[in-house]
This record gives sequence, structure tokens and C-alpha cells, in this order.
Amino acid sequence: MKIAHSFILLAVILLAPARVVTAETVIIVHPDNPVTSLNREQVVDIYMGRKLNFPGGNTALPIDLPPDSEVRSDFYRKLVDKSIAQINAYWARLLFTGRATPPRVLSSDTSILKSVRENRDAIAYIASENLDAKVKVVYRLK
Amino acid sequence: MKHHLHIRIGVTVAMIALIVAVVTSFFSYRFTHSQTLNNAKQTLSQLLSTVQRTASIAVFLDNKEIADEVITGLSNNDFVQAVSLTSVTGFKVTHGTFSENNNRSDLVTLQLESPFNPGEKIGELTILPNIKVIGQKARKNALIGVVVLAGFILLVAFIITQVVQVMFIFPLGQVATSLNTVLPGGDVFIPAPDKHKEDEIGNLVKYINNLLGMVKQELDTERRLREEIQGLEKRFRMIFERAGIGIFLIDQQGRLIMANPSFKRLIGPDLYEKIELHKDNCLDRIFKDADSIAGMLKEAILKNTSVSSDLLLHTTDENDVRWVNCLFTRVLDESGEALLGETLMQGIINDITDRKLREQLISFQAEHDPLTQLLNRRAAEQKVIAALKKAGDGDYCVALFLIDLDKFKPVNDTYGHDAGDKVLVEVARRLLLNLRHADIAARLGGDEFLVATIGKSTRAGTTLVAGKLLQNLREDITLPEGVVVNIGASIGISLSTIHGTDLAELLAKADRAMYQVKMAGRNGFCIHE
Repeated sequence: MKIAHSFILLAVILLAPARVVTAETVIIVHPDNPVTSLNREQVVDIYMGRKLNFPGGNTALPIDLPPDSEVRSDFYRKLVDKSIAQINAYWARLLFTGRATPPRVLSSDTSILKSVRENRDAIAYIASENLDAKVKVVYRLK
Repeated sequence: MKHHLHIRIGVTVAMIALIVAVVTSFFSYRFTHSQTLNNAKQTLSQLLSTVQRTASIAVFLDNKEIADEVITGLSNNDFVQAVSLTSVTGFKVTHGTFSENNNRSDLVTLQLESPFNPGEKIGELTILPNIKVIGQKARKNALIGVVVLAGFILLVAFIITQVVQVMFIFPLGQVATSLNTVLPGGDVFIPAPDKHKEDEIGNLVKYINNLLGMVKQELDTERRLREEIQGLEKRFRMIFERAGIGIFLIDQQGRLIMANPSFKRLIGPDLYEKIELHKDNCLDRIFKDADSIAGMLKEAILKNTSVSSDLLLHTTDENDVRWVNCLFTRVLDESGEALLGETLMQGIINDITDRKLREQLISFQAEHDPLTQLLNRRAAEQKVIAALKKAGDGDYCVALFLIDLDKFKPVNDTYGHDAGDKVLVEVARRLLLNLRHADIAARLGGDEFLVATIGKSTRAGTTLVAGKLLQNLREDITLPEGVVVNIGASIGISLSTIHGTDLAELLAKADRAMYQVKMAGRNGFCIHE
């Protein structure tokens, strides 16, 4: 039994990254958002608090997954090549200036999708397999 | 001691230390100064890199709060005069003043990249270093370094001087003081200073003692030899000085080189002074017979032998007769070579005047009649024979006068032998009055006399002599008691030119002639026919 458990654990460890790597993270917005697509810099500016608006002028409300989420970790790694701890440190540094706030954190892909569907200013990222047709993809993070 | 060694060493070390201190201080100052400047720049670079991430974020976000924090933090540093943070968007925060005069090369600038997109330049952080403060600090550091270094060098120099003084100069001084009290040849040796018995100073002392030992040995030997030589010399000198005989040394030219006191005494101080004054051939001045001396010297040199002879000395008083035995020897060294390359003659003179006079006296007594001092018969005969021999060889004539006193016996009988002796002495004196030096006068015995004249006698001359002789003898003779006596004589004559050269025959003929005179009444003379 113990041996069987170990094998399962090993398989999970070996297979999990493969799933993350092969999976695609997509940046989504409300379907009515006038922005049709964003480039990497624009995504970075919004998520790192440099820009508070979409290129068109609408306020942008970035949404984050919880700190323990693999998708979140994968997102920041691919976007700015930083670990979650580094991102946290970045925000901690900015916190006392009162000029910038980190993205809102929602607990799951489901709640994120729901929030984006309901809020025209929202912007979020999800794993591509959880994508549905009620949101608009503006950038694909590879 | 004009210069103390430890002072000289101290001065030398101090001078070297001073030079080293100055040179090293110079380089130390330059090194420390530039080092401090470099350090300042490095510190600024480090400061910049410390705040790089925060500055990047500040520029990335154009966030004034963070930018202020960064800049204020930097400007707290003494080295920083002014700081500016500039973004490519035009966002700029400055602290302090960048004056136009500042050299651009002084500025320390850090390019800022986007924290999320490496390689994307988003701004720059610039610091103007406070050159004045940095320079002051550099100078201060350099000065501290120089002071410490110079102090250290001078301290080391001082310590070296003291150590040299204690470990070297002081023991050396002890050795020198000990050595100063040592007398060469004495028994005192110098002690090695404590703690230096096994080192170089100990060795020095050891070698000095060895040397002193050798010197002492050498001096002892020398002293002993000198004493021996002095003893020998004293004895030789004593022999030379005290010798009863005169010892002198002359060169080939007869010049006096040295002489002993006896020599001086023998030849007379006056003559010695004269010899010393003239420095010529002294032999001619000393000896009467110069030819004989020359012969002796020649023989001594040629035969390499000692030659001696009895010689007469020159004397100031003609009546003072001085005889010496003189011995000449050529002076040669052990190998038979001439001494000093020249021919030197050693002379020894020994006063033999007494012996010589005694010999002469004996000889005189043997030949003469003790009463009248005329020759005795034997001596007279020998002399006449010699004269006759000479006469036979030449034209000389020997005339024999045989004289017999006529009235001597009565005087002798009447007035005694003393009176008779006085008559005989007077007769002898009167005989000599008419004779030349070469003529012979003798008392043959009793009242019988013989006179022989030697010369170119003729019968007439002989007659004349005979007349004079007879005349003299006819005169009265006054005796000391006042008695006057008349003696008279009968003279018989023979001549070698007439009667041959045989003495006995001549005597016999003279005797016969005298007999004729006696027969004819005495008081006359007659030549044998």
C-alpha cells in the first residue's frame, strides 16, 4: 500500500509541472470592454500598479488568484519572471506610499470568471482550460 | 674620543630612518590619499547598488515617496553632495545642488532598468560626490598614516640605537677599557664581558688575548736574547775597554776607525786628538818606521796572516823612547770574506819599552866595560873585524891605536883603586874627544885601551890623530881630592892599508910599535914599520 501511494505521489509530482507548462494562461476582460488586445508591457503596467487604466482610458481593476495558486505563480513567472515572494515584497514596499494597491484577490477560477462577467473594468488571468465564452481574451501568456 | 660610536650609530640610524620615513610617508600619503578617494567612489557605487532595486521601482512607478526615500537616504552620506533620480518619462527628484561648474567626470551615475523587464532602461540615479569632504577625509587618513608610519620608524630607530648601545657599544667599551690597562708583555689578560663570552665580542676578546699571549712570549724571548747580547757585549766591551794592550781598527788607507782607551794611552792623548782631527793615515803619525809598517800590512794582506814587529813610537820628547810590539791582522768574517766589503786591519800594540830597554841594557853591558863605558875587548874585536871586512872590500883604511897608560900603576898604588878608576874614566872621556861616531874606542883591560879609526886615513892623518890622542892624555888629571896626577901614554899604531886586514896581525904589529915607544922612553907614538 505504501509503495502504491509513493508511486501515485511521484506521478503527481512528475505530471503536475507538465500540465502547468503545457497549459496556457490567458488574460481576460469583460466582453464589453473596448480593449480588444493587450501586449505584455501593458499587462505588466496594469498588474504591477504602474498604470491604473486600460489603454483606452477606462479604469482597470486587476484580479489575482490566491498566493498558493499554481496558476498565479505560473502567471507571474511568465509575465515578469518573478516568484510570488518577490511580487509580495514588491507590493509590501509600495504599500506604505498609499499610491498603489495590489490586485484584488479572488479564491478560484470560478469566482474570477464570475467577477469578470459582471464587472466591465475587471481584468484577470485564468488557465486556458477553464476559459468560457462569456469573457474576452486580450492576451495569451505563453 | 671625539666621536662616540653609539651617537654615530644613533645619528646614522636616525638619518636613514628619517629618509625612509620621508620617502615612505610620501608614497604612503599618495597611496592612502588615492586609496581613500577610490574607497569613496567604491562606497558611493555600493550605496547606489544598495538602493538600485528601490530606485528602479520608484522610477518604474514614478513614485515620489519611494524616490524621496532613496534620495534622502543617499544624501545622508557625508560623501554625497547632491543626488538626482530621473525617469525616462520626465519624472525627476533632486536633493542638493548640481552646480554647473562640477566636472561631469565626478558624477557617479547608475542606469536603472525596469524591475519587470530586464534591459529596458527606465531612468538613472546620479550622485555628485562631495569632493571637498572626500578630499579632507583622504588627507586626514593619509596624514594619520604618515604620522603612524614615521612614528613607528623613528621608534624602531630609537630602539635599534638603544639595543646597539646596550648589546654592542657598552661591552665593546668595557673591552676597550680593559685593553687600555694592559701592558704589552705583562701577565694581565682582559676578561670577556658577561653574556658575551660566546659571541663575536667574546671572540674578539679571545683573539686579543691570544695576541697578547703571543706578544708576551715574543717580548720575553726578545728580552732574554737582549739580556744575553747585552751581557756578551758588556764582556766584550770590558775586554776591549779594559785591555792593557791597545786595540785599534784601520782601513786600507790607514785611517783609524776605532780604538780602545789603552791605545789612546799608549800613543798619548795629544797624538790621538791629532789623529781624530786629521783623519788621515795614522800609522805615519804613530810609528817612526813607516816603511816597516807598510811592509807589515802588505804581508798581512797577501799572506792572510798575522804579522808582528817591535816598533818605535813617535814621542813629543826626543829622549822619551817608547817601544811597542805591534801585531797586524786582516779582519775577515766567518766565511773568510772581507768585512763590509772593504779591507780592514786590526792592530794590537803592546808597550814593550821596559823589556826593550832592559834588553838594550843587557846588550850594552855585554859589550862595554862597566867602568869606562867603552867597548870591552870582545865587542871591540868584533867591531874591528867587521870594519876590516868592509875596508877589504873598498878603499877604507882601518887604523888601530893600541894605547898603554905610562904612569897609571903608581896612581893606583898611591891613591887607591877609586882614584885609579877615576883616572881610567877620565882617560876614556879624553879618548872620545877626538873620535868620530863611526870610530871605535875600547878598554882592553887594566890600563890598556884600543882606538880604531875608520876612513880614508893616510899616514899623515893617522899621525895627526895619534898626536891629538897623546896630547889629551898628557894633560894633568885632577882627582876629586884635589890631587893632580899626570899619566901619559904609549901608543902603538898599525894600518890595514899597510899591514893587512887580519886583526891578530894588526894587533900584534901595533903592540910591537907600542913596545918600541916604551923602549924609547914612553910618552909617544909609533906607527909599525
